[in-house]
Amino acid sequence: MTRTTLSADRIATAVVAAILAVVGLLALMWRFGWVLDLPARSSTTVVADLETHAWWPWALGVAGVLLVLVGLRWLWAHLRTSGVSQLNLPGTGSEGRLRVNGKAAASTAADVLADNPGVRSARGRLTRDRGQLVVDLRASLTPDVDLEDLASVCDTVAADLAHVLERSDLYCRVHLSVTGSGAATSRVQ
Amino acid sequence: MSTALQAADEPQHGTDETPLPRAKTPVTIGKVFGLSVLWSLLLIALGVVAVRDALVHADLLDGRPWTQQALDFLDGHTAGDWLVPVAVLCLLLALWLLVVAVKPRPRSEARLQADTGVFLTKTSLRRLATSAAGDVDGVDTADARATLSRVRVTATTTPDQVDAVQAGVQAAVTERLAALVQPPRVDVRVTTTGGTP
Repeated sequence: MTRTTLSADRIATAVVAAILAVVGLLALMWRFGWVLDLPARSSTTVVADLETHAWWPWALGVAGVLLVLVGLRWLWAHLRTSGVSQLNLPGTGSEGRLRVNGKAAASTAADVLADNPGVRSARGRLTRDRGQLVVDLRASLTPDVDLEDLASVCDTVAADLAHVLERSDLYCRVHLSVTGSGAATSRVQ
Repeated sequence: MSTALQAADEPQHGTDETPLPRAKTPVTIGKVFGLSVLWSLLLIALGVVAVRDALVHADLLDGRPWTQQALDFLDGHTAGDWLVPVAVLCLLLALWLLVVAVKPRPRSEARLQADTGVFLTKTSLRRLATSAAGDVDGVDTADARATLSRVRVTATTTPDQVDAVQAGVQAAVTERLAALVQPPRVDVRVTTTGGTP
């Protein structure tokens, strides 16, 4: 989900909140006669008269199609994944920009990470999250892993990635997931 | 270890390079996501109703326009006491929606002390706590529940070891999670399984 979608979502939810608040306040004003001098009986004749105009079906049809299109586009925005595979590296000269598959760099970093005691497996990808381009690594750990050691290994891997990818706008995130229970396992190589 | 990432003819860099900076802490998807799916479905439904009514007006479909029926339903009501609970419901819902729209999404993982971004999932917290508690001498069984701010461990042991196990499990779990930037509070409850025969 992109930041634009998230902002749109928040604004839309706030708008619905505002509409409900107005409806609630109007209901109270109608019942108790506060502020606005609303008539005793509700009347929809003003709106009903609109329906008699010749342009009404057209207006309704166009509005309906627009609503459906906007709704579908908005819904679709929530289904998109945020993986990024092609990554341009700063190259020398005007011809040719080095292109490294971001996924490959992240996968290699994951392989390096997986080659440590306590790490069962690891995988990596490049993703965009809240406006940041992130190398996202996920590692599966045994419960007896040394977290401090692993944290410094992650720093080393991130340093290598910084060197290889040479972009000033990249971030790194390693998700550690402990799988399995209790008993320490020996790594038979 | 770093040669896998670099060309073979390049000198080793590794430790003198600053690591990639920490990405934002992972967050849960949040309520706004689900609500927005609902709003978009409502928009589509409204649009379908509008198109249907337009076709009915144009005599391309049979039946009465639903918008007309809705307006007829809303017509001719008097302001009664039924408005009060409706109003209260609307206002409470409006308040809740406003809070949800504005609140930042809660974190879903705990950050470890490191230069780059290293995070531990909530399930991992639970499993680490269970594993650490289970390794303490005298502990029969151990179980844990964890949120990012609090870990609750229950352990069973024999009656004569309750105090020792209480202290031991507290220390073991706290030490296990010490690498976190904001270690959660550890609560330990020890119950007995019955004395040794």
